[in-house]
Amino acid sequence: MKEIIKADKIVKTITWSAGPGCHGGCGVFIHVKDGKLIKMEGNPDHPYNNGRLCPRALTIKDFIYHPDRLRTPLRRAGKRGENKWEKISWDEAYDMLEGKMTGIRDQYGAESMIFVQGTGRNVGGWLLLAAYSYGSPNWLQGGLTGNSCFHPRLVCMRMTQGDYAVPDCSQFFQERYDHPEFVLPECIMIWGQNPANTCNDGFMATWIIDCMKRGSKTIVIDPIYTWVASKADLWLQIRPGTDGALALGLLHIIINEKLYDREFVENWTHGFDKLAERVQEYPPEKVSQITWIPKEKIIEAARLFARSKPASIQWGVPVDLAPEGAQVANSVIHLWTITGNIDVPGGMAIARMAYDVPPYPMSKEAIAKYYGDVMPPEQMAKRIGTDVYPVAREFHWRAQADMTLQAMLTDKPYPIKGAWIAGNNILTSAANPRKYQKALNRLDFIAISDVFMNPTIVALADLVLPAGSMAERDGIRAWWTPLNAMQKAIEVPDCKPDEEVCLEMARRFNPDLKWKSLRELYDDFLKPSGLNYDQLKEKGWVFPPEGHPTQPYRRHEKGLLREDGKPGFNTPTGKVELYSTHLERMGYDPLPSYEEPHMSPYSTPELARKYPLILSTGRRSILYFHAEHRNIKALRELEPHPVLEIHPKTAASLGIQDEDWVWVENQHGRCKRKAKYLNGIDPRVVQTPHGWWLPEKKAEDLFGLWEVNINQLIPDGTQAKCGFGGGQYKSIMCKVYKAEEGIQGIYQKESLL
Amino acid sequence: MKYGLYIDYDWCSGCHACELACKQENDLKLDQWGIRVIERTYQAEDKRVIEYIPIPTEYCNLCVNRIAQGMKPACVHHCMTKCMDFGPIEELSKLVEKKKKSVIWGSNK
Ligand code: SF4
Ligand code: SF4
Ligand code: SF4
Repeated sequence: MKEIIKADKIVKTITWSAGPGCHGGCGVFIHVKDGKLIKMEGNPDHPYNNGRLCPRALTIKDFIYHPDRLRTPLRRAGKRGENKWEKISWDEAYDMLEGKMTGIRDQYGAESMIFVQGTGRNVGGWLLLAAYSYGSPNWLQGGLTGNSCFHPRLVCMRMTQGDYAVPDCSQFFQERYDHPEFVLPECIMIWGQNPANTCNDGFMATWIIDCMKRGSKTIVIDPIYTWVASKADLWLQIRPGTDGALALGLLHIIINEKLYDREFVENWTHGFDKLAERVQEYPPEKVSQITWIPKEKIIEAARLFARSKPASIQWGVPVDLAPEGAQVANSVIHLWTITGNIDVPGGMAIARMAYDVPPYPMSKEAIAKYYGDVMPPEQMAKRIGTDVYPVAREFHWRAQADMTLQAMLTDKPYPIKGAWIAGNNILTSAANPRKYQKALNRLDFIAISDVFMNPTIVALADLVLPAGSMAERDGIRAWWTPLNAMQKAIEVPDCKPDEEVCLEMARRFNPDLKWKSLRELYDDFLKPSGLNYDQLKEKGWVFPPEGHPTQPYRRHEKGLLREDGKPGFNTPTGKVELYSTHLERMGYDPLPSYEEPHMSPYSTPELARKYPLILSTGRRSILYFHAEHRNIKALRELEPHPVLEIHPKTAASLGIQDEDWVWVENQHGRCKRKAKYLNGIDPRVVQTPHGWWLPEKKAEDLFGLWEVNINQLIPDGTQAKCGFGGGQYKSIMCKVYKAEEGIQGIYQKESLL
Repeated sequence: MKYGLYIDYDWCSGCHACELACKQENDLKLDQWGIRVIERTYQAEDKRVIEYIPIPTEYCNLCVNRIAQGMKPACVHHCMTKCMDFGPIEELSKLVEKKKKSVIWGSNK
């Protein structure tokens, strides 16, 4: 065993983005020796993780010093897809980016350039700055059909209750579970989320396990019998895609059995009677038929949830991915509302960015306040999708993904000519990736910023910008609380953090931009906290003081949620709107209802004969974040192949043995998977993770992408009526059959070593 | 005094953090592990049980260097569910007495 190497310096920062790849903000210490990161440890004092770290954070050294890491800007030398590149300097890269983008703006207008981020990483806010400074309103998460991850929930909470809410696991306090005001949730409903594997959206999922250890009961809604399901008080094995029916069924029981919080409903909600009438359409028998969950379990769950005080709901992406995701989100909001669990300790805490500091803005107001004045309203009105979707126009701030894809292909409402993609391996991650390839190939110019060469870069990029990891960035973070400083611990020569690149381009496109340096920008953004960047760095993180509008609890009673200072929620009626006046005004059904998945044994019985199995994709792995980390061997060793989880009975009926290679196929496409027997899955359902490409294969073959990309089976353009929700990643159908052979050149245990 | 690792495997979620924390701490190569998490599943009376249990290997040195500096072992420090602990075996044995599904991995360190 080696001796402990003494670090020259230890840098206090947080994890966000390139590295672990997540949306979380774990406090960490980076140990540096001779200018190199030698290890990263969890910071025991940081209230987010209290010292803990996940496998991706613990292997960050392999990520940062990986031999395949992009180390210099590249200009395409051959044709797209040939993987021929010329190394260029950063100055040349900046000039090329500026030149190409200026050309597009001059000839077609700034809206013809789209700015594409992937999942919720810190590049988002800075890419927005670049987009707005350039003059394009088209900032989006490309490939995400129906914008259906997080955003349906986000816009619904904004419309229905005025603010975002998260399960209160004491994360708003430094002392965490010991804080005197915190109350342990009596029951947590875990809706389509696996807390053992994921940290989502500013929420460290292991907080749920912390609460379970302290005695919180749990109801797990999941098609799979996961470890957490095995620990739960109640497990509801739901048919994928039917979450909307379950939510309405639970409301039915809670309302009809009068288990709701009458006082809260009376004082703080709008339209209860109309909701009560609507849910009569969803009696337990019918909901049981739709969801495949036994009626008794649905009733038991409704009673357990409603009788527990306080109670909370931790939800995941299946809510958004239901056919009418926004409607499902609203029904779930109604569940915690009528049981009186909003803004109370141990319930659903209203979550705002600490001190309203917006490095990653999540409301139009935040954008207007900090970035908005750089673009005239008539330009803003060109944001794709806003003419069709009033919800997008009023409550969202990004371009609609499916309509952007259409615009790229059809030049309507106007041609798209260029894309700046940052941290989105879109050919791996998008629904209908081949259509994206075709669409993006029509563009005159594509710049991609990333850490590693990937299929999207090889297939489409004209300019490649090597991005810095989280350890190479100064930054600020407030995704809910606390407000954190990110601190550069190391430099990797010729890699640049997106923050620097975006600001440089923003300044080139808008010479009047008020910030001359990142430091100035951070100091300005941090003003509401009363600290500047150096002071925040010194402290590491801060919580707003008690009584601040961005700290809980019971702000609706104290008049802390509305601009006008009156008690109530930030909605037109000042109440939580069970009957949505916004939706009504915009011409949508103001009450939730259930829609069957686009493709299912009931909606498409003919097709279901050909493709009899329900396919649920996108389940998370603790080892990989979306399309990343397959090249980190220490992680790959633990999960070397893309698997298809299948019930042994189903497998047997198809002549498939455990570990056989199989094809998963439907009318849209097919890909290979390795069968993995799983008892805890319904025999009519199969499940597989997404994001696979094979870094060990040849770049010219797009790293084996088309052999393993499950998203080929998922169509685009299935967005919900209001534009939010409806991606079919969780509830499409397929058939599975044995493949004649496995995947040539895929890592085997020996080849990994 | 002899030391050991305490595992409350009732709460181990199988997250692999201990395995990779150990690798980072001890610079272990591929297929070298200071601790391995095994999975087992079986039918109990009322439900199917899924259990993960971390077991130290011959590479485990109980993080003597960290302990000397007043720190916890790397695996204990990073465990995602905080189901591990480190200490004198005598003290840990009081914990196992109270907790079903808990175990001490002893050592001659
Ligand atoms: S995935 Fe979770 S544990 Fe890992 S770095 Fe992100 S927030 Fe922390
Ligand atoms: S005590 Fe140290 S050496 Fe032993 S398993 Fe844990 S991290 Fe590895
Ligand atoms: S880190 Fe903790 S929870 Fe994770 S596998 Fe190891 S012992 Fe289990």
